[in-house]
Amino acid sequence: MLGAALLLVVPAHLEAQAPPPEDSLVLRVDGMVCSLCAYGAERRLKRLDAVEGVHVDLDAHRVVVTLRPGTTVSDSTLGQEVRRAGFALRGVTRLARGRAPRREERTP
Amino acid sequence: MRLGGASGALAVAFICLAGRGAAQEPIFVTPPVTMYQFGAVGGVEVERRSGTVAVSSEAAFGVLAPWTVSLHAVGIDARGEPAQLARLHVGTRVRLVKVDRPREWLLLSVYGAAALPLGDKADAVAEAHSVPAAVVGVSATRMARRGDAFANLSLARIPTPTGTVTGGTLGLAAGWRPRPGRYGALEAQLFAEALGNYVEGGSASVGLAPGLLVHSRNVVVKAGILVPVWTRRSGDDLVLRFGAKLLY
Repeated sequence: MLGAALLLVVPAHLEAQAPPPEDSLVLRVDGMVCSLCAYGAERRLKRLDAVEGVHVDLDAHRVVVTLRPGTTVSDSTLGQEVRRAGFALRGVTRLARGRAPRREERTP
Repeated sequence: MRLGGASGALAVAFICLAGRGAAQEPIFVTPPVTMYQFGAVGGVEVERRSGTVAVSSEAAFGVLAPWTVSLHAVGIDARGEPAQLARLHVGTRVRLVKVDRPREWLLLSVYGAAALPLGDKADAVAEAHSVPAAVVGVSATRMARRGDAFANLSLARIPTPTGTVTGGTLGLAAGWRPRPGRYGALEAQLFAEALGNYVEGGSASVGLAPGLLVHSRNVVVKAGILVPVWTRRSGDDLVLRFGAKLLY
């Protein structure tokens, strides 16, 4: 009985400690006004190994980045690529499948 | 020194041709935009005036986001003459200031382009049609989802058969996207442009230009017509310009 209880409790405890898998990131990018601007941001972000797909929403000035399974990418790396595209990264929201946004950080 | 007839007129347009290297741009006024890092743009522009057709092709590469280098070739097909290469310019543009805001950016950049030596034959064609040997300029813009504004001031050294003169061009343009599209969708942008040109010796002109640019993701097609509204000792005529560009 005790063993069965441990089997149920321990995995739940481990899951609470480990970071949730990241499926996508929402980048708040200032400066994108048209498709030609955004094309550079898409190209730069797609150079990252961890990035599977990029979706640009010009009206919301957001870029949704889908990550390859089991990979992650740091905010500083994202900020660097957005700068190389000629824009400014203002924030990153990390989303895991089936979860609410985990956090939003301001990138200097 | 005075430039007259077709030579003086062509100087207006060709000053504007060199030093572009961007895709988000009015039809005639040089924009300040630099390419993203390791991004490239290639394009062709065809310009027709008074029986002379100038074909220019340009390739630009973003070394860094604020620094673009470019190569720009101009060929002339004049009535009664065989088509010939006139100039090959190597150019650079440096972004000095960029302010990014939600759905808006402000930008100021400087640029320069200089002709590479191509031999006496090409020089003679360039001189006959007032294609500049060197251009420097400063340009600024405010771009937003619906409306853009551009300003550009350039100076050019223009060898002619009777000597080298300096010319200056001031360009102002406003762009409007009637229906800003989602990313990747076909989007049209209308331009209203004004260009003032002065060439050392007293030749001057002012022209107004409506233009249309259509783009989808990384492909740009554009067309415009420059109408002279005031001229002084200049043979300015209507200028038609068409162009297409591809970003990579």
